[in-house]
Amino acid sequence: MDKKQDLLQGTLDVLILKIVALGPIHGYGIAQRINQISKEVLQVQQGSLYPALHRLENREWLTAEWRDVNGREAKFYTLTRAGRKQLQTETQNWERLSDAVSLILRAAE
Amino acid sequence: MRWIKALLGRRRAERELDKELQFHIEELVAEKIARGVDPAEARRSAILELGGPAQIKEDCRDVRLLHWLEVWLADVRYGFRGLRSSPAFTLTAVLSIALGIGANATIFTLLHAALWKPLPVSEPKQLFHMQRLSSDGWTGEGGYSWVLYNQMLEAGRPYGEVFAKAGTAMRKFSVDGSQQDRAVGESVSANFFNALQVGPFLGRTFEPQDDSVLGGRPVAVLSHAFWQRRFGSDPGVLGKTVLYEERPFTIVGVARPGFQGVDAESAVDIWTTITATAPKEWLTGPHWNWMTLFIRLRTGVAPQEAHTALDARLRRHVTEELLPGAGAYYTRILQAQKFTLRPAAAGLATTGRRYQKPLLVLMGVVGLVLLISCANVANLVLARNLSRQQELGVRLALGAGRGRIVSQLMTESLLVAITGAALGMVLATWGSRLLLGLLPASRIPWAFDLRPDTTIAALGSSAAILTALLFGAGPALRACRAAADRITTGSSRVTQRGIAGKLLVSGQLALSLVLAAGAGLFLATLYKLATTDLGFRPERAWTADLSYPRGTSDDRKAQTMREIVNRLQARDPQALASHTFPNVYDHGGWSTGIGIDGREPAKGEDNEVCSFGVGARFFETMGIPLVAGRDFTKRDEGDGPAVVVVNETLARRFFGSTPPLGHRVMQPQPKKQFLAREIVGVVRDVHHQGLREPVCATIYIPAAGGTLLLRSGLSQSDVTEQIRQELKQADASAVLEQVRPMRAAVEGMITQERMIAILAAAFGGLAALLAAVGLYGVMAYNMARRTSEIGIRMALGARPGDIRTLVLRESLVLIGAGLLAGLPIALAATQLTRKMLFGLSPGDPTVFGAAVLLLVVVGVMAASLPAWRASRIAPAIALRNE
Repeated sequence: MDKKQDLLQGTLDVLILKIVALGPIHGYGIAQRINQISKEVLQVQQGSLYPALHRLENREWLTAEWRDVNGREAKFYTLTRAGRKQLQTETQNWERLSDAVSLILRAAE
Repeated sequence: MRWIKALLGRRRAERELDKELQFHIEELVAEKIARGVDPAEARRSAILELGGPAQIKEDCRDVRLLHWLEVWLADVRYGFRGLRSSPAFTLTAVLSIALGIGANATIFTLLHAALWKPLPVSEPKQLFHMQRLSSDGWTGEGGYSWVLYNQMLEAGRPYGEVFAKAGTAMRKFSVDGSQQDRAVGESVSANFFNALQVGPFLGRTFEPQDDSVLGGRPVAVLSHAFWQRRFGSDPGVLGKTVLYEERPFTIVGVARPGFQGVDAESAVDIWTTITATAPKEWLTGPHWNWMTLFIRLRTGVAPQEAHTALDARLRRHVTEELLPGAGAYYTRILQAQKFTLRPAAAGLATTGRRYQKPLLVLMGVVGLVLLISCANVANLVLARNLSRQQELGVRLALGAGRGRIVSQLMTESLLVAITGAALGMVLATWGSRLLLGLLPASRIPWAFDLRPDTTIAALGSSAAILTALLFGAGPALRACRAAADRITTGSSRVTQRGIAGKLLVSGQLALSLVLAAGAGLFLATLYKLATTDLGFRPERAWTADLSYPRGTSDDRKAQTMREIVNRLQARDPQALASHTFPNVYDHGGWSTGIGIDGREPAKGEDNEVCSFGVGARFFETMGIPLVAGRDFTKRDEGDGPAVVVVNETLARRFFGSTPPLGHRVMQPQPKKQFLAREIVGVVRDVHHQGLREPVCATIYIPAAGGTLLLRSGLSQSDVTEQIRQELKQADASAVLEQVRPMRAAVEGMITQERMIAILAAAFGGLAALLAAVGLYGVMAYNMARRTSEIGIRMALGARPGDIRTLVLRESLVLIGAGLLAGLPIALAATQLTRKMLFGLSPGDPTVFGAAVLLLVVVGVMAASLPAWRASRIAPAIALRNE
């Protein structure tokens, strides 16, 4: 199996929310951050990053504004109040799920 | 709404996405180059890594589409949930809208069917109706002679095809001679079908050879519907010979399905050529003007060009062939005539044009009703949104966008409007049929196509959206603002809502006054028309039309009439029988020029009078009072001396204050001779031409035949049976066509007024009811809001009566403000109805006073329930409420 794992379906959203929660950031930056933080284990399919960003923006979890980066315009995303709430919920969900999964895995040993 | 915005903002979103992806690639390339990769290779691998911008853009597009669908569905679900949870609100709102839109769609459906719906032929816009109008418009529409038609056909050749139709009526029809039937027959020029571009379904339509001045070919074309109905879609019908008006005609074809002639109101069953149906003398001289002409213009021909050429040809015809030898009266008519090309994409629209004005007025009326229902629903929505302010405030606080909340509230309004509109359209299909029932029965059954089509559907859906905006937008924005205020200040500005509601109610009352005043004017008109003295007694009087086999001599018809009159009077000594030609309450008699006392009418002198040919005891039978002299007797009908009876108007005009009895009237005879008739009687004026027309100077001359008149107290079926039996004895070959009460003819003259009065009263009542509900709602709400205030007042010693006065006073202010605002609107709006009124002017003070009084009474009644309830508030409970 490849060392680099594909992202579990649906987890991309919560990762994006988490990264954006750390401060305004553009799409390329998010891709880089996910790679860095996950010590390059997780590779974001860059193609799926932008639809996900648009989905989150539509749901009003993210807002975006255009800022200048070295003379070029880049779209920077920030978390909304609703997005922050969503991140909390998602994180809790995720923790519950992973707890449950490891519990099952351990019990099965 | 948000999803609409998403849809509209698509292009900008695309552009921004391009820019964003471009930035990503540039960054990636820069990073790879920094790592020492070759620039070209870096760009290639960057694009590869990203996965192809086109694919990403496509995915993002999907996300956006899915998003607005999701949002919209969520709004719809939310809306449905909200509406289900308050059924009383939903029901009231939907019903209000349904009534408003239903009333509009009803009137519109009829207007559309009667006036606007294009004929089912190709390029109907090329069709024009060639009108010969006298200066007073519709009433004086002249026809064309066969000679003139052929001249116009030639003159019109460079511009298009002129075609003619005539005499649409119920005709005798029989397949094998045994069973007499009636069918709607119409005679047309041989180029009728070709010019309309209506092809045959079976066989052929008419061809040029079918027309011939020497008699034409006795061939007939059936309508598709008649062929299905009468012949069971039998293809063997071609070549069959049928009896039409008792003459054999060969069926040569069946017209294309859907085509029923050029007048939307009647469905023609059978077409024959004019030359085969009209009497020969009608085809040769210029004086039989009975046909209606149309022209189909060639593509690219301006109507103006055709008009100039045809108008010139008509004038030449008038100067060369009609004016020489025309009397003063006819000359005046001919010279005043105007020729116009009326666009006739919708066909002849006879009834449609006659009812255009009243239907347009009714369209205005129902438009107001819709506005009032919208105001009512807006009031309901205001109150409803207020009760949800808590919920909305919480959602705003949680970060929901204002746009989002307005969008949800609007979606809910739209749901109400769409449901209401759908229900309204159902009501309209039923209502338009009901409305048709209010029109006078025509000789040919009405055949308006009232089925809803795309135009009606478009009207319904735009009405839904419009009403939703009207009643939903204001309250939604207000609710949002109020909810936001609640977050910041902790309390809502309730007073503002109170003002909005009061404004709406006052507006409703203002509009209601317009409708109530209009309805009052129409009702008063109807009353005046119905109670005006007609000059005769229509009660218990019956008219009976007889028909005879083809070729029956006039002597024989006169004999039959004498015989049946005698028999009917012998059978019932109480009954009175006579006859008249023409019928006394249809057209108003022949017009004829007379001279007085041996002096023949001078050229250019206005001596036109109306003339009726009547039988013995005519005035007694009709209940027309004699002012002087005597009634006609049997001897006058026979070979007695030539006599005449005149009406008061004639006596006044020709004799002034001299008693006319014994003087002589010179009546024109064929071959320019005059017959001197001695005046033996003067009778009261009779409104033969209808109540709105001035009474015509009239001579009554003894004559044979015509319509049978009977005055008898029996029921319609008994009268019919009696006449049928006696007719069989008198002349077995004659047929009794129909027996009608005279009252029906009189009422037929005021059907239009009755239709408007009934509808205006119904809609006015509906408007008043809606306004009353609105007023009740606002007052009830205000009282509920002020429960504690009233409690304190009562605790401080106010009696229940004081509280009632307080509430009623506030209501009266609302009512008064509304009516004051409505008064100038109503005065201006009713000016439009001036021509439709009879015996009173648009600003009639009695009618306006009654309308104002009615609305005040209705308003006070609506306010008295909340007033009574407020006066029963127990102070202690009220204070504890707070």
